[in-house]
Amino acid sequence: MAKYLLKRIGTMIIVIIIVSLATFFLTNLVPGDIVYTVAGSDEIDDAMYDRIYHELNLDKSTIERYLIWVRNALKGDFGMSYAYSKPVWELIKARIPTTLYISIMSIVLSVPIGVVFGMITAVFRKKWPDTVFTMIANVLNCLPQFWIAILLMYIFCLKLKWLPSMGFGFPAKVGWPKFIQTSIMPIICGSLNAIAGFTRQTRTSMLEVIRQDYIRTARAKGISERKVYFKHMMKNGLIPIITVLGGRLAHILGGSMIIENIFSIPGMGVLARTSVEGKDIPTLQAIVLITTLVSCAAYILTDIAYVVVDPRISLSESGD
Amino acid sequence: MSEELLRIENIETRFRNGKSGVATVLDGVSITLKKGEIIGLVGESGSGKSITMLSALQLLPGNGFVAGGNVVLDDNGKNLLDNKATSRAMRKVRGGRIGMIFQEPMTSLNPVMTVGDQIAEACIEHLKLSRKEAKAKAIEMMELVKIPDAAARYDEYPMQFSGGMRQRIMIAMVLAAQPDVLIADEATTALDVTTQAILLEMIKELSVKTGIAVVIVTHNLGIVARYAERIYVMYCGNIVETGSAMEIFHESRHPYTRSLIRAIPRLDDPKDRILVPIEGLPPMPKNRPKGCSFEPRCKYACDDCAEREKPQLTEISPGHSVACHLTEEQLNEKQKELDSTALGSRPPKNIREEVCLDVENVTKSFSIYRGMMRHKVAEFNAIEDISFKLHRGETIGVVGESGCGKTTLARTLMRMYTPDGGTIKLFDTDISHLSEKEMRPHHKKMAMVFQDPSSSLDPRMSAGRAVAEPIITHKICSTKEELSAKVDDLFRMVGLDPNLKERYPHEFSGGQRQRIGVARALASDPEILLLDEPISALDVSIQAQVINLLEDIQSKLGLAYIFIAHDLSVVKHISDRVIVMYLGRIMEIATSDSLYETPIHPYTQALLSAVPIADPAVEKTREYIGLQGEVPSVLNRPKGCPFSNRCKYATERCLEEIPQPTLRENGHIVACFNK
Amino acid sequence: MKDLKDKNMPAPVVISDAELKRQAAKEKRARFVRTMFSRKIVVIGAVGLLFFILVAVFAPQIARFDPSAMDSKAILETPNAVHWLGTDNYGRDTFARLVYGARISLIIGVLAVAIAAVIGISLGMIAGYFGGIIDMIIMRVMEAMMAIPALMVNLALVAVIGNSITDLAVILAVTTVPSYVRMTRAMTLRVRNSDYVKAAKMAGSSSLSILVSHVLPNVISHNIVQVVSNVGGTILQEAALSFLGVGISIPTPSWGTMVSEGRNYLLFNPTIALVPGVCVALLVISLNLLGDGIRDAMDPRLRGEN
Repeated sequence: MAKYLLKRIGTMIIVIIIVSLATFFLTNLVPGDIVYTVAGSDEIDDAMYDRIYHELNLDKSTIERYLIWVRNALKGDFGMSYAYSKPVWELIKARIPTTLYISIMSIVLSVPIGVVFGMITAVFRKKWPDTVFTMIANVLNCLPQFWIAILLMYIFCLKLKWLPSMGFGFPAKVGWPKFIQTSIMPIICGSLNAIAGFTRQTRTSMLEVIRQDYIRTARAKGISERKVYFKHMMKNGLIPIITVLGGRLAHILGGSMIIENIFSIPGMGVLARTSVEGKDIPTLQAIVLITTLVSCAAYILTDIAYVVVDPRISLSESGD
Repeated sequence: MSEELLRIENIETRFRNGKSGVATVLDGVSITLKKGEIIGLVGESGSGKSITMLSALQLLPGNGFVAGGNVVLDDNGKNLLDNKATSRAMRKVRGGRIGMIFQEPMTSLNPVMTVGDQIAEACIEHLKLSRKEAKAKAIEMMELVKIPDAAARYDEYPMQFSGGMRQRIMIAMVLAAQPDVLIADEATTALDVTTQAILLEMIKELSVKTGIAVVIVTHNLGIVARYAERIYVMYCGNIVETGSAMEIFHESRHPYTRSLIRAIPRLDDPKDRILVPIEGLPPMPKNRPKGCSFEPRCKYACDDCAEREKPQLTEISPGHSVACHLTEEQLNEKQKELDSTALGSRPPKNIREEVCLDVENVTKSFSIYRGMMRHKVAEFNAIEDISFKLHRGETIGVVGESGCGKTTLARTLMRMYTPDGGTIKLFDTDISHLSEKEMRPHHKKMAMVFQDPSSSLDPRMSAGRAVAEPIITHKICSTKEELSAKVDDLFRMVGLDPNLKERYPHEFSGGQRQRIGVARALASDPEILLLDEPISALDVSIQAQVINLLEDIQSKLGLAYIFIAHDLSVVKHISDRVIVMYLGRIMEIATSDSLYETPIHPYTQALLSAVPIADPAVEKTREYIGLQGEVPSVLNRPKGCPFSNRCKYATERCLEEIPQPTLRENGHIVACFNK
Repeated sequence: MKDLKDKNMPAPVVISDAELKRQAAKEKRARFVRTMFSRKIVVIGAVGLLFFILVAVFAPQIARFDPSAMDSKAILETPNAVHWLGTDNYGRDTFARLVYGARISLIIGVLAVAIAAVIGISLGMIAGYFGGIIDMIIMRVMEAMMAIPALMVNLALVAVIGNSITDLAVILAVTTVPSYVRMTRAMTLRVRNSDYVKAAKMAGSSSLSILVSHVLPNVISHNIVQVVSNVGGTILQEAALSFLGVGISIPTPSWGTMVSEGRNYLLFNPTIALVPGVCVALLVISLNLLGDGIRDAMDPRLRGEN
C-alpha cells in the first residue's frame, strides 16, 4: 500500500515538472516584447530598457531562466506582478481563502444532495422520481454554468432584490450578515453542476452494483432491503463517487473562475482572467503552477481514499 | 423421511423485454422436495433451471416477475408468493429456511466486506445472535467447511481466497442460518474437477449429518447421476421428465433426455462410440413453438407432434412423469429405426509413423516484477520438462486442472512464448528459438482454435473476412475468386452456409462461432491443429456437434490434433493418447483407453475418480478417492514431486526429489517413484 | 450436421456475391438506423441538431439584419416587430447575432473535436500498442494536461496563441485530447491482448496489418459516441471562454460573448443575455441525446433486443 502511494506520488512529481516546463516555456512565447509590458509604456529610453532587460534575466538563456524561476518558486518567490507591481505570491495569498471558501462550500453542499438524488433515482429506477431527477440532472449538465448564474442573479438579485449581486467579503471586513448574503448565490450556482454530476455518477454506479451477484447473495441471505442498500450497496457504489469527488477537489482553486467573475468575487479566478488580459506573465505562471500542485495533492488524497475504502487495492499490491 | 418440505407448483415466470413485450421463461414448472433428500435439476443454459429456484425465492432480476403458481413450505397451505419479495415473512424463508449458493464464487461475495462479517450477518439475521456469538458461530461454520485457520481468516476479504475456498465460504454462510433446504445453483461449475468433487462430497455428507435437503441445479449429467436421488429434466421452461435417477438414465421416456444422454461423452465409453448430437439450438423464449418445444429438434417426433397442443407432464409409473405425446411403443420403435440408421462406426484412424511435432524437455518460466523499479521478486516455471511426440493424424489430449500449465504449453508450442529450455521440432525444423519473422511461414503448418469463440473473433470483422485472413497473410490464393471459393469451401467443411460470410460474429450462436474459429484455423491448410478448450464455452447439446465436426475433419484431412481441455470425458473421447499434467509437469501419458482402465499415477487416479459418470448404476460401483486440500498455486510448487503434498503415498523421497517420466506397464509413461 | 434447423440460416438461394454484400450492408444500416431512432428522445435530438445546422447554413437568409451593424437610434430595445429579440447596447439586432452565433458554435465545436480526435486517437494507439517508454511519456504528459482545470489551460493558451476561430479550435482541442488518448489507449490494449489478435498473430500477420485491420476499426467505432458528446462539451467550453471575454474577438457574434455583454443590461432587456444561453443548452442537449442514441444503436446487446 505504501509502495502504491509512493508510486503515485512519483507520478505526480513528474506531472508537476511537466506542467512547470510547459507553463514556463509557453508563456515565453507570448507575442510582444515583455520589457515594454513591464515598463508599462512603449516610450522608454535605452538605459531603462537595458535595466529591465537585465532585471528580467533576459540576457540569460531560457534554460537558465527556467532554473532560476524554479529555484525562486520553491522558496515561494514567483517574482513581481507586471500589472500590480506587487510580489505575485502576495496577490495569490490574499485570494486563496476566498476561492477555497466558495469551492469547498459548493462541494460540501453538492455531495450529499447529489448522492441522495442519485440513490433515489437508482432505487426508483424507471419510475417517476428517476425520470424527474435524471432529467433535471441531464438538463443541468447541458446548461452553461454562467447562464444559470446570470439567470439566478436576474431573478433573485435584480428582480426580487432578495440578495446582493456582488460585493463578497469575509466577516472581518464586511460583517456577518453581508458575508452570508453574498455567499448564498455563488455557492448555489457553484454547486448546481456538481449536484448534476454526483447524481448521474451515483445513479450509474448504484445501478452497476444492483446487478452484481453479491447483491443477490445478500438478498438470498434474507437481510432487509435497508441493509442491502446501506451495508452492501453503498460502500461498493460510492467507490466511483470518490473519483468524481477527487476531480472536484482537484479543481478547487481553478474551477470557480466563472462564478467569481460573475459575482465579482476577488478570488483566483478573477486574478487569472485579469492576468491573461494584462499579459501578466509571472502571475499567470504562478497561478497555473499552484493550481497544478493543489490538484496533484487532491489526486493523491483520492488515491488514499481508495485504499481506505476498497480493500482490493492494498491487497493486489501492484498499483496497475 | 418422505415428509414433504417444499412444493413448487405451476410456476410461471415472465421477463419484460424492453418495450417489445413479455417473454414467458417458465411455463408452469412444478417441483417437490422431501425432507433430507437430494434432488437434481438438469438442463442446458436457458432452460430455466436457475430461474425456477430464483422465482421460488423471489430473487428474480428486475425485469422478471412470477405470473402465477404456488410455493408452499412444510405443506402448510400457505403460498409464499403471496408475500412481497422484501417482506419479513419472505426474508425469513430466504436464508432462514432455504439457502442458495450461486455459480460464480468470484463475484458472489461482497468484495469490500470481510468473509467473516458476511457469514456472521446471516447468523445475526436469522438466529438473532449477538455480534460476539455470531462471530463464534461464523468461525465454527468456517471450520465445518474445512477452511484452515478459520479464526485467523475471519477478517480476510474474499479476494484473498481461491475459488474453491470462496465457494466453501458461501456454503458456510448459507448453512450458518441452519436452513432446511440448500440450493446449489451450478455451485461447482466454475471449479476444478477435484475441488468440485470435494465440495459435492462435503455437501452430501452435511446432508446426511444434518438432514438438510439439497437441490443440485446443474447442466452436468454426471453430477446428478452421482448425487441425486430424484432428477428433474428441464427444457425451454418446462419440466420434460422427472423420476428417480435410475429411471432417468436407464428408462428415460422423453426424447430430450434420451438425446442428451446419447450426446455426451462418458469416461467409460468404448473407444469407437459415436456421439449423437442434438441438432439445432434451443429456441429463444419468444420464439418457442406453441406445441412441444423440443419438437423442432426431436428425432423421435411423429408427424402430428407439431400440430398438437403442448404435452402435459403425466405420470407413467409412480414418481416417473414425462411430458411427451409419444407412447412407449412409438418411442421404442423410433429408437430401433434410429439405431439401425446410425452413422455406423467411424473409419479407423490413420495414424502414421511420421512425427510431426517433437517436443523435448520444454520449460517456460515467468517472472514476477514488483515495485517502482520493476525488480524481479520471483520466477517460476509454468511448465517444466515437457516431452512428447505427436504423430501425423494422431490426437493427443492434454488434461489438467487450473494452473497445470496446459495453456502455457499451447502458447509455447505456438511460439507465442519463447521456451526457456528444450526444443520444439515441427517436422524437421527446430522452431523453439525462431524470431517472430522467421516463425511466420511455420505458422501455416500449425493453427490454433481458441476457447471462447466470442472473444477470439473480432467483433468488427465479418465471418468471411476472419476466415480469409490467414489465406491472405500466407498468400495462398492468387485471385479474388479463388479466395472467395476457398472461403466458401471452408464454410461448407465446418457445416456453415457460405451465404453467412458477410455476417458479424454477434449474429451467430456460440456453436456457429466456434465453427468459424475452426474454419479460420483450417484456412492455411495446416498439418497440426492446436485446440485450446474448444468446447468448454458451449452448451452440452452443442458440444457433441463440435466434437463430431472435429472428428470428421480429422478423418477427412488427416490432421494431427493437440486437444487441451479440463473435461476428462471429452478428452478421453476424442484423443488417441492423453497427457495428464499437474502444476506444470507431465504426470502420466497413456493411450486413452488404458488411462481410464489402469491409471498408474496417484494424481491420475484421483482425477479420474473425481469425474462423475452420467450413469447412476456405474456410479454406485465406483470408489471416490478423496484428495486433501486444493491445487496449490504454481508459485508454491513443492520442492520434490509437485503432487507430493497431496499424495497419500508420498514418501520422504517424493518430497525431496522430482520423479522423471519413465516407461511403465501398458506403455504408460509415468512420473512417480511408487512402483 | 447438414440439415441444421437453425433460425439464423436462410434457405440457400443463389445470389451473386456482390449483391449479397450490398444486401447485408443495407440491412445492417437499416437496422442501425431503426434502433437508433426507435426512441423518441433520439429523434428529438436529431431534429434539434438539424435545426441548428440549417440555421447556421442559412443564417444570411434568416436574419433580417447584419449581425454587426450598429444602429445608434435603436439601442437596448426590448423585443418588438422590427427587432424580434430586441437590440443590444450598440443597437445590434439580437436575433441576427443569435442566428450567426450558431455558425461560430458549430464550427468551433466540430473543428476542435475533429482535431482532438485525430491527435488523440493516434497518440492513444501508439501508446497502447507499443507501450514502454513511449507510452510512459505520452501518458505523463496527458496527466499533466488533465491536472489543470480545462478553462485555465484554455485561458493561458489564448494569451499565448490568440483568439481567431482556428486558434480557439486548436486551444479547445488541447484540453479534449487527453480523454481520447486515454480511451483509445485502453481500447488498444484490450484489442492487443484479445484472442482474435493472438489468432491473427498466429496466422502470421504482421504488427502493421493487425493495427490496420483489427485495432483501428475497434478503436474508431468505440470513439464515435465520444465524438458526438464532445462536440457539445466543446461548445459549452467555448461559450464559457467567450463569456470570460477571451473567446472569439469582439465583433463576431458568439453566444457566450452575447451573454457576457448582455448581463450588464439585464434590467433593461434580459433577453440579450438569457436567450443565447438557452440556445447553447438546446444545442448541447440535442447533441447529447443523439450521442446516447448512437451509443445504444452500436451496442450489439441492445440492438439484439428490439
